[in-house]
Formats: sequence, structure tokens, C-alpha cells
Amino acid sequence: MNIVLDVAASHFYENGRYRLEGRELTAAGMADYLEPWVEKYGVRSIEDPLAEDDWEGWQLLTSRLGKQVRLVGDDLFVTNLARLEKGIHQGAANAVLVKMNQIGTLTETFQVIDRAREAGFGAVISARSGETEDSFLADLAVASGAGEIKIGSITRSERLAKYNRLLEIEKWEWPTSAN
Amino acid sequence: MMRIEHVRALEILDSRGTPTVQAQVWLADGSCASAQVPSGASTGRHEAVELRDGDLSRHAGKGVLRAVDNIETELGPAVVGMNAADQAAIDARLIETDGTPNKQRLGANAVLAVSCAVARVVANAMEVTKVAGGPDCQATKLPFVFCTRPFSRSAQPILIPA
Repeated sequence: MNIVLDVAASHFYENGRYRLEGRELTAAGMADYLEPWVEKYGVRSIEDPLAEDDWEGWQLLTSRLGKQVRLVGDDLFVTNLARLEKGIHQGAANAVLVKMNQIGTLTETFQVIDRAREAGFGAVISARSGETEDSFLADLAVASGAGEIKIGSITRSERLAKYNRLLEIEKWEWPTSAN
Repeated sequence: MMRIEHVRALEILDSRGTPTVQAQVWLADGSCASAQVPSGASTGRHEAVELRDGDLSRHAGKGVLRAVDNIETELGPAVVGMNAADQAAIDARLIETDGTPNKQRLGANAVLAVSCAVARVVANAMEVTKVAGGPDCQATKLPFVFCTRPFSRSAQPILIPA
């Protein structure tokens, strides 16, 4: 078990500064703020540590922490191939959060996952806060070969629908691969 | 060829009681499948556009009857007759039918519902119950389980010693 963080930094970013606990931090200040946590708490992954359009900050943070920890772009990439491409070229982030409804078709979703893999970026398949009993997400995670899935706590049926679908796929779909 | 015969849609409710879109796709052989789309609360500025009715007399303006109607009158008819197994062609047609870079005209919620329902009806028709993958694919994922509520939705902040 590891600790993973979702900082959602776009929410407290204003005029080039991160307003946090009464302080105003630059991107470098955010890196200083987050860096000790990685070792102290064994943080494995940080999602949206910086704001969605702070590309320079993301570059800086990735060059400082990218070797030790997964830096996941959610608001930064919004499952959009053009934005992911920009991140790959600039060295901003090293993983992408994948939400199908950020982009709107299955084909475009797979393009993002495939491009991430090709560039050595991680891909985390994610649910939204408003979900249904549809478990498509679990199939997407398996079909795409993504290593991680972000659904939420193991309570409430709209989430369990996905976890149970993963269990079902593993147990029953391909009995010949049981070894 | 798995010919798409018919596409329908309806407004359903998500885990917050907010309307969302369900699409159902029928193939010529009578098989059918549906898909329901999720909805985000904290959304990135650059996301594709989720179409909401804005009609304050229903669901505080969050109805999705326009998105549903867009499936039944535009997106559905645009893919009827196409081969459902060609997901790339289906999605390209959906994108072209919407005609905007961020799917704002017909709604990303409408487009995605059709895209996913097509994938699922094909998976069903191929007698596999998963969307893709194969005998060697690994179903075990590292799950991310939330331990705290988002700060914006909780009463007490959690202080983390530096």
C-alpha cells in the first residue's frame, strides 16, 4: 500500500500563485512543499500538483520529482491527445489520468492511452464523481492494459460495480489463462 | 458486418441524483447493448463540453433532454447502417456530425454514450463480455482508494506535517 495524492491545484491557483494555508507559493514553492512528503510518507503518485495551464511549473516540478514519483496530469491533459503531446514534448508530468467523458469517444481515449504508453508515461483509468452502475470503466482498464484504476472507496454500488466487474473479468472471462 | 439498425437514448440519474445520458444500440441481428455516461463535479477547463438543458424548471437546469434528443435525431441516424465493429469509423462519424473541436454542439455526454454503447454491442455480438483485450490480458489493477474527502467538500481540513 502506498499513499497517492490528488492536489487539484487548479482550484487554488490565482494570478500565477498557489494560495494555500494563508501563503502564496510559486510552482517552485509547491515543489518545495511537496518534495519532503514523497520520502517521509512514501507518496507514490501526485495528481494535479500544479494548475491546468501552468506548463512551466509542471516542467520544473517534473524535472525535480519526476524520477521519484508519478506526476499525474488530470486537469492538465483532460484526456486530450494534443495536450498530452505537449506534455510529452515539454517534459511536463509523467502520467495521464484517463476519463472517457473528458474527450467524448472511445477511439480518442485509446489514442491517449496508446500515446502515453509509447512515450513511457503512465495511464490511470479514472471514474468521475457522478457515476452510474455502468462498469464500462473496468473493461477499459483491462482492455487498454493500464496498470492503475481510480474508482474511489470500496463503498456504494456505483463504485463496486466497477470493482466487481474487475473481479468477474479476472475470474471468469478467460478460464484458459487461469494459470 | 455488424450493421447498426437503431439507436435510442434516455435521461437517467447518476450517483448524485443528477441527470445523465444512456444510449442503446441495436444491430441488424436484433442484439442490443446500452451504455451510461458519468459526469464530473470538478472539471478541467479544457474538457469536452457536457451538454445540459439549462431549463430551470427541471433538475435545476441539469436535465439532459437535449443531449438525448441529439442522439435520437442526429448522432444515431448518422451511424445507422454503419459497421459497429469499426469503432474508429463510428467515432470519426460522431465527431464529424458534432462538428466542433470540443463536442459542444451535440454534447460530449451524447457522443460518448453512443461510442460506448457501440463498443459494448460488438463485444456482446462477438460473444466476449469484455470490450477488448485477450486471453493474456491481466485484470488485476492497482486500485486507488480514497481515504479522505476533497478539501472543498469537507468541513475540517487535514493538516499534514511537513
